Amino acid sequence: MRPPSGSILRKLQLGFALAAMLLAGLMALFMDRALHGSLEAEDAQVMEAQAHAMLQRLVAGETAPDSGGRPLLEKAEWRVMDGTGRILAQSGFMAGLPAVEAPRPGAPAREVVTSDGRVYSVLARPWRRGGSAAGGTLLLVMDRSHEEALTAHFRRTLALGVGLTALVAALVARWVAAWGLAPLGRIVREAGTIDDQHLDRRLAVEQFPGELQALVDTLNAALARLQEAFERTGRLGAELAHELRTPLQNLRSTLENQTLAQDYTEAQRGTLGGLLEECDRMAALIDQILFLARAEGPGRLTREPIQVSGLLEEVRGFFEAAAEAAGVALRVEAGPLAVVGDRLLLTRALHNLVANALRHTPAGGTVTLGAEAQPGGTALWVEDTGSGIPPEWVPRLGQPFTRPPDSRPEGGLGLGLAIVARIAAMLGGSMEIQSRVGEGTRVTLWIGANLT
Amino acid sequence: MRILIVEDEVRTAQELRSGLMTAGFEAIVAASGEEGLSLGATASFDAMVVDVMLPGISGIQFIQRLRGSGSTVPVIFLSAKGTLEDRLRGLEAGGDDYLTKPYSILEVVARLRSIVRRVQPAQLPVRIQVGDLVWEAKHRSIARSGHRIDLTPKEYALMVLLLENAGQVVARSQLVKAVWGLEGAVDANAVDVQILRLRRKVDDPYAVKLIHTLRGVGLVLEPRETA
Repeated sequence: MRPPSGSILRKLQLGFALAAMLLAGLMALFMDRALHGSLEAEDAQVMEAQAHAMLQRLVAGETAPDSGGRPLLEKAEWRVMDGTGRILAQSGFMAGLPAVEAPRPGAPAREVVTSDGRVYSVLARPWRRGGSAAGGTLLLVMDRSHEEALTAHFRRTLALGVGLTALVAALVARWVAAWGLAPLGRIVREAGTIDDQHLDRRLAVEQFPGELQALVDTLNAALARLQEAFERTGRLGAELAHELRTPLQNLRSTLENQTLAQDYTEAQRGTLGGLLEECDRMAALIDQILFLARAEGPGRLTREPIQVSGLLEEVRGFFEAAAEAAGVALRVEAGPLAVVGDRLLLTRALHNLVANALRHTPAGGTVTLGAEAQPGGTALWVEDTGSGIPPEWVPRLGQPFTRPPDSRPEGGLGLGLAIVARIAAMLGGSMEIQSRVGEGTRVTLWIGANLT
Repeated sequence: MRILIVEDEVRTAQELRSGLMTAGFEAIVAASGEEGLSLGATASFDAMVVDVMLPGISGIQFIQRLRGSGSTVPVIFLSAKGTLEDRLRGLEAGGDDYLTKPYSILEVVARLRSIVRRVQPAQLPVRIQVGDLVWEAKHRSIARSGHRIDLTPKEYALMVLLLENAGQVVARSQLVKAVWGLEGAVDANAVDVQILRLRRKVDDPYAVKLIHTLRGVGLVLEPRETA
């Protein structure tokens, strides 16, 4: 059998999480870009304004352009150079600042990252004092490290947000998928209640969502075909029963009348009797085959409460003399226990099991009929201390015409256990065989919980 | 006793008729349900044996019309179909009993006797003697030559069946039904052993044997000298 090809739930979860992550990631990228851009634009504007104010003072003849008047820019450092690049004046910090490459005067501010990891914006503007030769370049530097730290923190927060979104999406996907797939589970449960006793049942199409209609329709169509095939088998079985049993009846009646007639010797009657026994064997075989072919058997199961120990005692009573003659102890081990089931079918199954057990248990052995209530239902079992079954045969024993090679010819046709297995299935249960060569065999009839 | 056999299979009908006549019945055969109805309307029968699968009207339709005409004559259905549902349908339609083919003619005879007895209850004798064996029903006592034989309940039930039919062959299927209440195929060995145990108790100590097996058919209780 091939392993199931993946889980729909997993796929949906993964798809949901990926889609959510992609969306959240794009959103985060957009927000990051927007924040960065607006901060930069704001900085540039402030620097331009500062530069403009400083230039005005320089032009007015002041050498230290930041004196007087509140600085527009905190942490703004400046340097005033003449036309040759000689420093005329600068703020205190500027002296200790590593050399920064000045941008071309007039160009927008440039971002510079120093070796110690700090980030600066640098702006250069030309100045000329009116009517004199004095002029040069004003360099304005702004420390933007703090802003960079802020945006980095913002990015980390966004990344965490994206991760959380994916996680929540996966959880939501799980719930949504489970909710969406629930009708499938219902189909499985409802289809699971349909067995060969209830082949006329169908799934109610209107109870399932539109996407599953095709599946439900297909299942129903398959069930209809199955039911038709079963009915065909049943009709065939009825015809077969008639065709086989009518000549057998004629044969049997003729032999019976002849045997009862007075005009034969004892030996001749013995021969006729042997033929009658063969007729009965053939009749039993036809019964068994039609039962296994599901062409015959109780169409409706009777459901009556059965005292298990009483039932087992009845079976023991039937085989009591046979067990005694074989030197085998036949015991019942069952407490007060009741099941609801079909008495005829259970009796038939137990008869087959005890007949098998007695056949394979040598004198001095024990055959035990037992019953036990289990959480999943009731276990009825027949255990012997007989020859056991080779392990390689155990799994095949429920199939018709299967007999271990060394079993004795009077061991029947190998239909007994197949019939037990079929009865177990009809009663909503199963048959289990445990066996050890030389120690014995236990066959358990599990009666399903739906019966109790 | 007059019996009407409604059966389309010629050979089946002939053998059944022959078997019933050997058992002391008067038997008349109708080859179809229609013929059976017209025979039933003109003559009176103590019981009818009717095949379910008939050409023309089925055995079920036959009994519905028969009952519709007010007849209460006991009817045993014979059918090639062994399904419980078929059996129930036959009984619900007004049948008194149902046998699946291949049946034993002796079993049909036994059922006919039992059905007619049900209609006209017969007095069972309280004391039956076969050879030197005496059964006193009131005391549940069975003795040979004055020696009481201890029997288990199953052996006693088997013995009573043989005593009630003394001199006549009792079919194995009848015996299984009387002793264990079971119908249909059962383990033959278990039945054989039970019979063997009874014979050991009843016959082994005596020269005259009473219980005899007719192989493939059943048992008969009658005194026979053995060589």
